[in-house]
Amino acid sequence: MKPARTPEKLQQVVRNLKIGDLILVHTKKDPISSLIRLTTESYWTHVALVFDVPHTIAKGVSLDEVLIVETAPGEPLAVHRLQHYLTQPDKYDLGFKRMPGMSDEERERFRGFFLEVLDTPYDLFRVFLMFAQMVYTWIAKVNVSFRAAGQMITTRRYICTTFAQRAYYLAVAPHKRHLVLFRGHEHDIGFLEQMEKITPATIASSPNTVWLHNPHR
Amino acid sequence: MDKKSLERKCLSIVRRRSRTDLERKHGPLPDLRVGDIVLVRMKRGGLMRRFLRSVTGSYWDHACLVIFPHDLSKGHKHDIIIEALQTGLVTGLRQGVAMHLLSRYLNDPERYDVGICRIEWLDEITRKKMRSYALMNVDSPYYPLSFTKVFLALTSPWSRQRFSYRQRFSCSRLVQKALFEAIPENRRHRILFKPGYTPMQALDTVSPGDIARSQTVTWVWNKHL
Repeated sequence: MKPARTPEKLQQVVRNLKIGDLILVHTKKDPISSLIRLTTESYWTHVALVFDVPHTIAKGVSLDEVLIVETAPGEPLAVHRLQHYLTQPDKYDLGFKRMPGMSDEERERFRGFFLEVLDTPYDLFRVFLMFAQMVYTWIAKVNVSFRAAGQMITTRRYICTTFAQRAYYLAVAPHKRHLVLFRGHEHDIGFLEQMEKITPATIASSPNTVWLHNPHR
Repeated sequence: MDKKSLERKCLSIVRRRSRTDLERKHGPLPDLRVGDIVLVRMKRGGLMRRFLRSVTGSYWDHACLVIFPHDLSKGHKHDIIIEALQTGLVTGLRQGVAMHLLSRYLNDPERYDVGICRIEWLDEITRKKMRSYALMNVDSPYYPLSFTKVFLALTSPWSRQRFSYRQRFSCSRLVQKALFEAIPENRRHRILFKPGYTPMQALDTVSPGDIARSQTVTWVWNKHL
C-alpha cells in the first residue's frame, strides 16, 4: 500500500518540531482506543514526545526525520519514527503541543532523561488501576482517592502520560518545576496525583502547554 | 578541580560501584565514543547463531553502534547503542533498527559476550554525521536470515563462499552504511570492512566477522576475531 501524503500545513508543523514537543495520538477504529477515550473523556488515546530531529544530507538532498519516544502496552520505552503515524492518516489523527519557555539546555537534558530510561518496561498494572478506579467511581458514584492506588504503583515504570510529566519535571531547573506540571493549576490535589494521575485529556487541556496543531480536548 | 575533571571523577566512582558482570570478567569498559562498534556473541541464540558463526568464521554473530555514550552532564549514565535486531512476533511492525542500552548485553554474561572496536581516525563531525544517519534508520525493517540458506552454506566451501557473496546481514550492514555515509566521498574506500568487493556489495554483505577481522578497526575491549 502506498503511504499517504502528509498535508502541507501538517508538514510545516512537523518541520518546526523541537526536542520535547508533545504528540497526541487519536487511533481510529480500534476498540481499546475507544475504551480509553470513553473512560478518560478525551479525543486522544496516546502521547509521545519528540526525541530528536536528526538532519543528514544524502546525495545532495537534505533529509529531516522526526524521532519520537513512546511507551505502549507490551513494548518498553523506545524511540520510533513519527513517519509511522504520519503515513497512516486513515488510522491516526495527530495533535501537537509545546511546553513554552524551555531553553536549549533544558531540551538537551530532556533528551538525557529519555536515554536514561530507555528500555524501561510499560506499567500495565497502573493502567489497570486507573481503569479500576474510574469504573468504580462511575458505578459507585464515589470518587475513590488516588492515594489508595498510590500505595500500589511503582514510580520506576511508566505509561505514556506519566513518562511525559516526569521527563519535563526532571529536565527543568528546580525553581521552574511548578511551571511544567500539566496539572499545576489544580491546587487542591497532592504532588503524587500531579505527577502520576495523568491522562491524555490532562495534557490536552493543560494551560501550561500551547497547541501547535489540531487542538482537541 | 575544574568541572570536567570533577565530572570524570564522579563518573569513575559511579561506574566502579555499578560495574557490569562482563566488566568484572574482562576488566573495566573504556570510555566509549560515538561510532564505536560493539560486537556481540549470542551464546543462547540457538542453532541458527551457531551455524552463522561457523559460516562467517567468526567468534561474533551480531554488530551494533554506540550512538550516545554516557554523559553525566546531559543526565544519562548509560551507553546507548543502535542495532538491527528481530524483536519477536508481537511487535511485528516494530522490529528492525532500534536503540537500546548497552548494559542489556553487559549484564548477562550467561547469554552474551561483548567486544568493542573503534575506528581511531574518525573526527567529531564525522561521528555526529554517522549518528544522524543511524538515527534516521530507526524502525527500518530487519531482513531475516534463512535457516535453510545458512544450513546449506555449511555443506561445502563453495556454498559458503556463495553465501558470503550474496547474503545480506541487517546488523553489520547498518554499521557499515552509517560509517560509509558519514565519511567524505574521497575517503570512503578506507572504511569498507570487506575488501575485494565493490562498494555496493561490501555495504550489503558485510558480516560481523568481517568487521572483527578488518584492518580498519582497532580493538579496545575483549578482542576476538
